[in-house]
Amino acid sequence: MNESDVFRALSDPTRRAVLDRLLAGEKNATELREGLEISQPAVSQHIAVLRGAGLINEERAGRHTNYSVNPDGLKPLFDWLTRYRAFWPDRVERLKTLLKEMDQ
Amino acid sequence: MTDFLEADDRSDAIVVECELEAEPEKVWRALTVPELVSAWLDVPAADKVAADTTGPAYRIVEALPFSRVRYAWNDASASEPETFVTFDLEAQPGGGTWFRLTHSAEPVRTVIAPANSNSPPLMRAAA
Repeated sequence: MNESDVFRALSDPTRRAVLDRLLAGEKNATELREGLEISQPAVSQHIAVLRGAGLINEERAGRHTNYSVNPDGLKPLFDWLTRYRAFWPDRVERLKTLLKEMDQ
Repeated sequence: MTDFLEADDRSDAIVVECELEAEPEKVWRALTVPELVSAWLDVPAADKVAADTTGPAYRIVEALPFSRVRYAWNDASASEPETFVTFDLEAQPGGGTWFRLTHSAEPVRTVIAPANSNSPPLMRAAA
């Protein structure tokens, strides 16, 4: 898994909603689907993408499979955000300085 | 943690907004003329970097006079993804510019087809 898998996984609003639900606690596929207006196969597909990106874990419990958030999964995204949240304000300050130095 | 993932909140994007004490034409030049860009951005243009360079490089993919500039952002240290940095400029009554920078984590390749094209498609309109 790398950060681009994480970005791709989170680029979809439904997958963000699914992950958001799991942040509140472990759920099985049926519980995950409640309130989301999508089919079970669609939920399964979103789950597969989230698993592929390392964002969620699955655990079999009898007839059900429970899903939970992988706490380390969001780290690449947080790292990226942390880096560029520091980077851009610094560069904008430099842009301001340059604008003062530029000829009209 | 929950706020971070709210569907209508693009929190996988970084936004920096401020008013600049320069007219949009001047800001636009600072964002599009390579010599000026290198003076504040301190990041090489993608066509000027060696293949083994680590660290980010930019490539202008859109330059709409004097309102919008967009860079494709390659960060070799992150291997992937190629992302977008969008600058929106809006003239202010006092002669300044409202400046908004948006760095989106959304991979570029899903939005722009010719990733290997060297000619920024909208630059001709800007000339």
